[in-house]
Amino acid sequence: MNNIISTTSWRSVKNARFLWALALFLLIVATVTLPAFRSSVSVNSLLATLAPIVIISIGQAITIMFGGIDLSVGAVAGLATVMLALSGTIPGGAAAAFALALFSGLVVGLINGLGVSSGINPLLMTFAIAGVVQGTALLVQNTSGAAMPLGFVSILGTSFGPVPLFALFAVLVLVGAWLWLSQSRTGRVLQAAGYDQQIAGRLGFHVARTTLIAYGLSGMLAALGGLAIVTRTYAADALIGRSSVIDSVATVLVAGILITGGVGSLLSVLPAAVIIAVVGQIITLTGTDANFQTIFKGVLLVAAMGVYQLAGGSLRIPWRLKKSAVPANKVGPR
Amino acid sequence: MSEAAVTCSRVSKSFGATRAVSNITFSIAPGEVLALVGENGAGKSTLINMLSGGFEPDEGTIVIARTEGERARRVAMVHQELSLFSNLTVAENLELDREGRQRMISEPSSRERAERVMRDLGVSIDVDATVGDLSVGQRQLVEVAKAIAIPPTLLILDEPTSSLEGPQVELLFAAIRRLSSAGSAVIFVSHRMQELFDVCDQVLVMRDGQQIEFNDLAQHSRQSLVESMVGRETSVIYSDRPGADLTPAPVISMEAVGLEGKFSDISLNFPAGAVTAIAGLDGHGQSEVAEVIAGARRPSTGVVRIDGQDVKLPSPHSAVQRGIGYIAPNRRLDGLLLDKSVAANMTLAAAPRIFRSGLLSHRRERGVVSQVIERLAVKCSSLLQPIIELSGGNQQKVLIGRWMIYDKLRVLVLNDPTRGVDVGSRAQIYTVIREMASRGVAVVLVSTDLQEILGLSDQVYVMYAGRITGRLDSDEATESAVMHLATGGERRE
Repeated sequence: MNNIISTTSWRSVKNARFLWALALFLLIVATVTLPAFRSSVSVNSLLATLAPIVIISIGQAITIMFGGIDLSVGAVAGLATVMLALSGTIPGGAAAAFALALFSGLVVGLINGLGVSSGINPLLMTFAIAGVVQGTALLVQNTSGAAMPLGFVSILGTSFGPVPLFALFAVLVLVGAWLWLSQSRTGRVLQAAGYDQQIAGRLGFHVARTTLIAYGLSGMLAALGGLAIVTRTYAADALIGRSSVIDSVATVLVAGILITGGVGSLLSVLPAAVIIAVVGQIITLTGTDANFQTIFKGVLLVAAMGVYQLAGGSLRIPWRLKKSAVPANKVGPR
Repeated sequence: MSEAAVTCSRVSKSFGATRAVSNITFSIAPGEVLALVGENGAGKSTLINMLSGGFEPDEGTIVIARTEGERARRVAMVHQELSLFSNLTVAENLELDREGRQRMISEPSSRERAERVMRDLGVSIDVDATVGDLSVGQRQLVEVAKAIAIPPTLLILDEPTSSLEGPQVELLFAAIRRLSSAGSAVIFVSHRMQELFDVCDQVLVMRDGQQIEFNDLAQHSRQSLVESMVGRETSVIYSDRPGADLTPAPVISMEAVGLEGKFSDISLNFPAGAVTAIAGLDGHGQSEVAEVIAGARRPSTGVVRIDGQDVKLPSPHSAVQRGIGYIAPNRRLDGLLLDKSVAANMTLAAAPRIFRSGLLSHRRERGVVSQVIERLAVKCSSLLQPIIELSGGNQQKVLIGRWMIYDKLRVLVLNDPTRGVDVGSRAQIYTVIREMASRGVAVVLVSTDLQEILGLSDQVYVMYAGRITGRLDSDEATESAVMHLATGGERRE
């Protein structure tokens, strides 16, 4: 057993080994059977698609771990692209616009967090804010003089061989977020409060502050995800994150993070995203109708929920991670 | 005498028009253990919530001595509903509770500390076990360990033994004594009288929010304490047993019934007009046997017979159809519609018979329900009061009342019917159970409270590790005989 990482995190990673195996299996099958899949262009495009999904899903995973959800990630991603396009109209140029994009994501996240901690249902709060953000982004998009800083974006879009910069960045963020959630005091409180907010409140944890942190992070990561999308599209588009909400929620749930909060591993976001992206790539490469992608995502989500339900025995006891967590002979009074 | 650890003077608290706590004055010296007793709804929870900082008192002051040196925390509380996170391990739960300055958690030191805390308490619970996988008793011990890991000035234990067994209770008591000799003041809330006399020095009796007395516990006998609590004589809380006839063919019987992983080869007979108890320590399969009879679980082997006929009880609905009523141990989760009124909850089972036309009639409902309310002395402001506002004991009475008005009832299965119910309500519930039996109902009583079983039943089956280890008639059933069988002993001839 690993000694530095918390037992619960470690156990959650172990519980997801089937998911990793499935992702690996799909990768191998695709590599062997589809020569086009092996090409460096294909690998580059796959990783470039993966990066924003993973980054946005990390934020989504954090809110879901906290027992909430963030439906504004798509709108925030769109807002971020629009903000980046303001680089020509604000002092400081592209770098300032980049910071502004992230900052606007953070602000939206904090507003979400404020609403949720004041008692508004997260579903409603983030859904409503998504509308506000999207409208604002569409308005800002029409600012005269706004243009994508193409030079800056192509720097962001740098690839090392077939590996885009943002893909490396996504992995870095993923591992960092996982460690933070598992080993920091705030991360622990987030997991605990996500599992049972009532107890957390009674024990005097800073639940409101944790809510702000969770949604703030989600907003900022959604903005970062939007910037990752820009490196492929080079366009400021308020609607660019249309599919991000369903993609991120699907990824997080397929990753085995319980929608009720507190149970699961952030690391599993990676294999879940890989499975969805690889199947998408296969559909594209084999010339199958692209609409099958959407159908596949829906089916996968339901199938994954079914598998988890069977594996967990029943959803009525979501905490029962694994029956053998306690060796029978080791428990009890002496 | 040194400065008091806790001083309450003239503390009062109201919720709306209800005066929950009124004019309480007491003080506890460091190292003293105070028993806080009273019936359900007497204001104990409100008082301890004020002591732990959950509520502000409306009037009066609470002073808790400043912490010094070792005692780093002022008040620690073991809640009746536990405050552990089931998704985390034992060590992680203990770590969360630590007031840390460092932002990152060191796993080895957190585990090491948890192991030390468990060792100090004298229990061997794997600190890497996920709390959700522990039994209720083990969780309660972890909860206690968490509370005493940092010695508090005042430790409040609210029903800490409700799901502990004998040896575990001893561990808890040892821990309490250690803490008190180290100078912590302790407030101990329990419905189990014997425990109070085992560990407490002082006693504070509450009734209807009032302080009845604050005294040395040594001045009291068990009897006098109960009288002081309920304000009337309850020498006989178990009514007389007429000596039921166990010979006629049983209404319901089980033959070689087994349930995978829970119990096996159970053969039982439940005759009409008698109270048949299934005794045993917590978690030895008794509760599951009750659930099988109630149709809540399907047995994997064996047959259940009603009037000698093989029957299948695939659902609680089919059991009710055959006249089997069930009272589940967790009334809030499994028994009550919490937002609905007293009347609605009570007529739930009998509704098709009371309202034959299919339309509700409030006049009929009132007629039926008010009789039962009176009979059981349910304390409620009106029949339309939401049941969630009633105290635990009164909620339980409503549940029992539900089956009193179900005239098709032939078998009543009671699974731990008096958990968390105060003495006064208990007496009324016992009387009613007896009455139901004399009406010809076969009563099945599953309980971990030995006194209750001995006082109420006509025959006792004892279970251990999923098997029946013996059957005792009421005159053979003594505390020691039942405990002998319940701990796996062979039947003594």
